Amino acid sequence: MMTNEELWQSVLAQVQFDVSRANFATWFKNTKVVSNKEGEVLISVPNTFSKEWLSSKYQSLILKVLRSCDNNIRLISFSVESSSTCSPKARPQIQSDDSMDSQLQFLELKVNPITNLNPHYTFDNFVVGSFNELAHAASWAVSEKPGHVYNPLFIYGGVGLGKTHLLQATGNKLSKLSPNIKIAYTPAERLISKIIESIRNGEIENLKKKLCCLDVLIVDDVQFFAGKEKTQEEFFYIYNTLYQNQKQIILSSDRQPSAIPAITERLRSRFEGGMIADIGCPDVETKIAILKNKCDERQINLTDDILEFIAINIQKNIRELEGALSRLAMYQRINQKVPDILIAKKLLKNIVVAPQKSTTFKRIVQAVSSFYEISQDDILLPTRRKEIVKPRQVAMFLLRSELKESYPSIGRRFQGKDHTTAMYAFEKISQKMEEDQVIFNEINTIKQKIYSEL
Amino acid sequence: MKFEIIKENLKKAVSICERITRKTLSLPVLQNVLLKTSGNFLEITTTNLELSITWKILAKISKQGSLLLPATFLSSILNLTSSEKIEATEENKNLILISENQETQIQGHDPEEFPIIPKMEKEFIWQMDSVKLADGLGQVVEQAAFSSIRPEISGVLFSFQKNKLKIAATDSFRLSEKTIFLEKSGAKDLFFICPQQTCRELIAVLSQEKGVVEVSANINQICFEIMGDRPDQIKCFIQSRLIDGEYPKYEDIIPKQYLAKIQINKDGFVSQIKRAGLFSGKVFDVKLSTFPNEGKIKLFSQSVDIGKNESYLPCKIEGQEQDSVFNYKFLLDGLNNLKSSEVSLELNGSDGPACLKPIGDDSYFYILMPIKQ
Repeated sequence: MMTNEELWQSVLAQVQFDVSRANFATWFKNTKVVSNKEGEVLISVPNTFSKEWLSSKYQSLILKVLRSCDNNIRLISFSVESSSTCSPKARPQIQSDDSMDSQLQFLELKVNPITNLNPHYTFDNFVVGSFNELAHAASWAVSEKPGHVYNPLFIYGGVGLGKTHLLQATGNKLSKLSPNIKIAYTPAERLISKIIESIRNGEIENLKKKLCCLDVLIVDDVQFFAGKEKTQEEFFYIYNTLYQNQKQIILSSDRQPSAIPAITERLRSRFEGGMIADIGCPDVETKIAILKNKCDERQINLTDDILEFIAINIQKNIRELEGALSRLAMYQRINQKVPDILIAKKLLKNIVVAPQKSTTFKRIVQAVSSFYEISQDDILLPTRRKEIVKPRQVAMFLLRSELKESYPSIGRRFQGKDHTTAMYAFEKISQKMEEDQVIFNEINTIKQKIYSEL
Repeated sequence: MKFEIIKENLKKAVSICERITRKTLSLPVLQNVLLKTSGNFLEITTTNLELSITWKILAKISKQGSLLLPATFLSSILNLTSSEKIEATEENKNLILISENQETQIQGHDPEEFPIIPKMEKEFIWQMDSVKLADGLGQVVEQAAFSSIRPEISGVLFSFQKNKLKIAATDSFRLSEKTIFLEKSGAKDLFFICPQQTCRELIAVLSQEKGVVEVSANINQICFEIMGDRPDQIKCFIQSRLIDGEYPKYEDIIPKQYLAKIQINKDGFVSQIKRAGLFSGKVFDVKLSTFPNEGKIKLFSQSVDIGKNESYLPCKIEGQEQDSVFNYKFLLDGLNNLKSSEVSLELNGSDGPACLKPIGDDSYFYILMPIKQ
């Protein structure tokens, strides 16, 4: 028995003598036999014109040749195959010509519209250090064996430390390894607005159906689910369906599941049911490695002492490192020379010094109260309600540690509390931070909140 | 085949058909138009295997038949024919045209050679005013990308939402969107990507024929049908393949805020940009700076070989001082798409998207990215 390919070749071999060359090239281009079952041959053609032409002009000729190869063939039919299925995602990187080099593009257009993944984020350009080793290893494992190792994978860590990068890299690797896998990446906010919209249009079942047939669902920043009960309910359903079918779920948040306020217990326990990995603050060595990586990417040369200076002086967050680098890159472009350490210090003065000075009492209170989801007035009340006491102590701790305020003045800010109360709060939290990882993480997250939303 | 027809109608149809036959080289038969009688109508069809245009013209037909004729040649002949009425007879694959004091014989080809235009099943149908559609398409069609690397943005997005049709195009440097309001909602919200050339041809046809356009589509084809109100008016069908793919979710690109917003007279702005453009460098860069306190903007351009130019334009302005560098051609393209005399431009610094809008018309915007400084 001949293969489909051989069968079609023998047809083409015969037909080329009966048809003019231009016609042959036009109508038989990109045609092939797709299946040969029970005497029925299905031929795929690239467009409807070819279909019309072949079926009305060459049907009998093709059938004759096919029958001479295989006597069982009785029927042929044609189907139009769209171009995208013919050539699977062979999409070369867009190379813009030189004159367009500096013209900026809409970055959003590089995002794959089906999976919502940005191809820029890969494991290759993710720098691993002790602070994110676990999260990286877990993501890597998931990308090798989705649905089987860690399900769900829950990654948490502060702003700008690479959660999104890791999530997207996992998705990108998955889609590279198995191109047919159905992946969707969505920030939680977008999922929420989608759910709301589909409830309004009465299409929630469609949305659920669509999400439930995914192989991998990646949701970024799930802490935004807090307080959105209907969304949680729908997400719970989607989550369960996927989980039961052994589909991979990957989530991220700025804090661990137990610290996300106002999510239902059943959802929380499910978040905690798989692998929880945290991303901490990078150490100086890792920061230098990240900077070197970024320098290569942007093709800028900076001396090691500058990189070290940036790494030491920019404490918290990788996005800020990038900001610092951008500044230096700009300098290099304008002045056509590599900045030395003195110039670098001058250029980065505002970035480096800014965070310490930019905090205020109001900012700290705001960050603390929004983290613990209480109102800003409540935190200042002289009450002993448990849900207020802890945030108040945290706020006092931060006022002392970040603003270096005196204990009596801290006391006065909280409606005339005694300075000993402030001292007690500071010591208690300091001590707790050493003993309890949860508090440590909470404080770090709040600190980031204070400094990041500038 | 034998028929009598009003020359002007035939000329109009053939001249538009001729536009697409010029660009096909692979299959010589595509350089022809198919003339075919059907009842009391003469049908004129042409195709490039991506789109096909069919005109239906009322004619006095005494003998049915069909014939293939070279499009460019026929168009030239008709352009040089002065009489109002033409009598045409087919004899042995030749078309004999008889008009006042003139007799022409054109050699034709066997109509069997011509591709068969696929029959299309109309699954979804919408109706709209031809002028609105033509104007709207004209405002976006040129922003579609030329490249074939990303087929999904090489076309124009048609997105039907209840009683609205949004058409949008982007080449990843700029994006334009027009909203057209429909009198009747369609049955279903749908979107599809229509090839740029189809849209250009559609605009050309709509500039000739006004009336109601019926848009119908199925999964891989779209059809525009222009129906005349009077029985003697020409009917035209444009049928085209659709581009397969998922259009990017461009809603994220639309800037929601701005650093500075100016409102300015369009003509004055255009002429100053053109002037600045003369001095621009090889990336066509012109720098636009805002001075809200003084109520003016500055256009600055400089080129090593030519010199430099600086001009100030007074305008209504709010927001802060900021600079953006633009490709002045992109800026002009956007301004030329705007129909109002006053326009607003929202700026977002040196690396954020800027947004052009006509004043007093919310149905259109044009977003463009600046050039890196």
